[in-house]
Amino acid sequence: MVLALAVYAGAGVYSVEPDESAVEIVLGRVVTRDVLPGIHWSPPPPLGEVIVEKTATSFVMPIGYQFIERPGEAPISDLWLTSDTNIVTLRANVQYSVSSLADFALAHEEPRQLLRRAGERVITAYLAAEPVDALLTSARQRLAGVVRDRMQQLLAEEAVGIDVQSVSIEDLGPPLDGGVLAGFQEVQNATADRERLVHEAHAYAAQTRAAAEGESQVERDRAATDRHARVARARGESYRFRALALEHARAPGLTEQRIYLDTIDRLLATTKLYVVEPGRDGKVNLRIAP
Amino acid sequence: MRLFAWIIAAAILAAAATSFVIVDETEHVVVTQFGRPTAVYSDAGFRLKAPAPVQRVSRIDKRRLFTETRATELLTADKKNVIVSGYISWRVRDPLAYLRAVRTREFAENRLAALIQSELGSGVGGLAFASLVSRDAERSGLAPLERTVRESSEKTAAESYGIEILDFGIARLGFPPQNLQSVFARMRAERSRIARGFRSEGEAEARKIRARADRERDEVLATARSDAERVRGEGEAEAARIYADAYRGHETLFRFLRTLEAYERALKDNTTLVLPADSPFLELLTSRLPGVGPGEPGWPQAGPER
Repeated sequence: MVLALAVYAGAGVYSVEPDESAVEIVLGRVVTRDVLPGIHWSPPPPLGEVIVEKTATSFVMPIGYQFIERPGEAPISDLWLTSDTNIVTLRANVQYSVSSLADFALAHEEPRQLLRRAGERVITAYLAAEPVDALLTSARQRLAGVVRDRMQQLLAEEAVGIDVQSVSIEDLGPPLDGGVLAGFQEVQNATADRERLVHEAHAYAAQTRAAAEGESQVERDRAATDRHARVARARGESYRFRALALEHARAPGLTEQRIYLDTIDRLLATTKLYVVEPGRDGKVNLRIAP
Repeated sequence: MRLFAWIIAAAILAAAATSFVIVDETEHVVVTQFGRPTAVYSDAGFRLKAPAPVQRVSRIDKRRLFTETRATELLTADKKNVIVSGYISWRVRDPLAYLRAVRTREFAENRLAALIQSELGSGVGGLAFASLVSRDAERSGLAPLERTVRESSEKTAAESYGIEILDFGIARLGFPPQNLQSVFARMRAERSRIARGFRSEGEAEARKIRARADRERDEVLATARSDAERVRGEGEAEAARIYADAYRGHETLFRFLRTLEAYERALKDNTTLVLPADSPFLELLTSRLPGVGPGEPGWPQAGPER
């Protein structure tokens, strides 16, 4: 009898590892919700029961992977609807830990299933409120945080003792089939083209501006040179004239005669001159022998 | 006699073993006496009751329960097919009513799912597709739809089955597979329209930039040319002033030299002149230089002058 009691008492000893939590139940009632790590004793069955589970580790719940869809149902797979009725693919992993083992084990029938469907629900609602272009660019950054917060809120309302640590979006993009991906890449190329065209135009503008500046400078320089040359020529010619005028003043007739004859001399040396008899009525008979 | 005592002891033991119930944290316990419910224990702990054949117990799950609704194809108000799947979070609120109406968990789930599905069907049927998905997260049809479905099935669930619906959530929303191809085709068309838009946007922008650059160049050059002409004009003006200063007082000489220069320029190398003997030009060339020809005043006289 004593031995039996000793064995029964001994069976009530259990240990809780650092990453575990335990809940002690006696006669169906929870007596200790959070048992700290260490060696403990609690009445063993049939009087009592102890639930020990890993809680501090972070668990991963995959969302949007095709293999988890149940057979026999219309497949939804990893395709999601956006607010502009486009379709995107998305896969996510939810990291969670158990914050309250008593709630996790006793308050809800299937906390993990609830977690998965709640995750899908939050993602579905988020994607259904954003157009595809925002999702693939600006809204993408917010997605993980928003999904985490809303999941946490949903699960807190259900009091399932799960703490959603983080949500990582593994794969968000246009669907791979139906040639849609190529269409999205085409848009990317077009964006690059637009930037290139504008860039080229700016380069042209810069070049044109520089060339115009250069040409203006050339014009101005040329004009300054012309002015200088013009004035210099005027000075030169007027010096010459003054010198000549000085001489002319001394012997006007002689100077003029000399200049005149010099000029005629030079002209007649290079000019072919035919002098013909004037005909009647002013007509000239032109017959030049070859 | 000894055997009789043993039988009595066994009977007492059996009665003792069935004359209490341990109510677990996760369950309601309904005690029935000859099939008629006499007590409902919802709090965990140890309870006494009459022994076995007289009072029996039924245990009913007290936890929040989880039931998924199958992905079903539904029709929106504007005759678009969508696939909706969801989940129900629920619990037994009234163990007696529950026990009476549904008895088993499976039956309960079937009834509940059917109830929710029909409300969901009519809910979706009353909405245009565009209001299921919407930019406006507040007015996006999903949350209100979930609420409507839950609220409209709550009453029936509570009254008929003793069930409290805690939450209904739409987990997935999608197009049926046979519609996917047309959706993809629309997406492709939309993408190529957007791509074209970007390209023509780029071209327009580039044209604008080039045109502006060209206009700026023209303006800069025009300014430069006008500056240049002004500078040349200044040069001309200064030259004219210099000439005028030089020629002032020597008008006759200037006219004489300038005229000769004009002739010389007119009669370039190898010019052939055909002139009648009485041509004024010939005369000019030989004798009639105005004012300075032979015989004119100022022309050196033949004969002894000096």
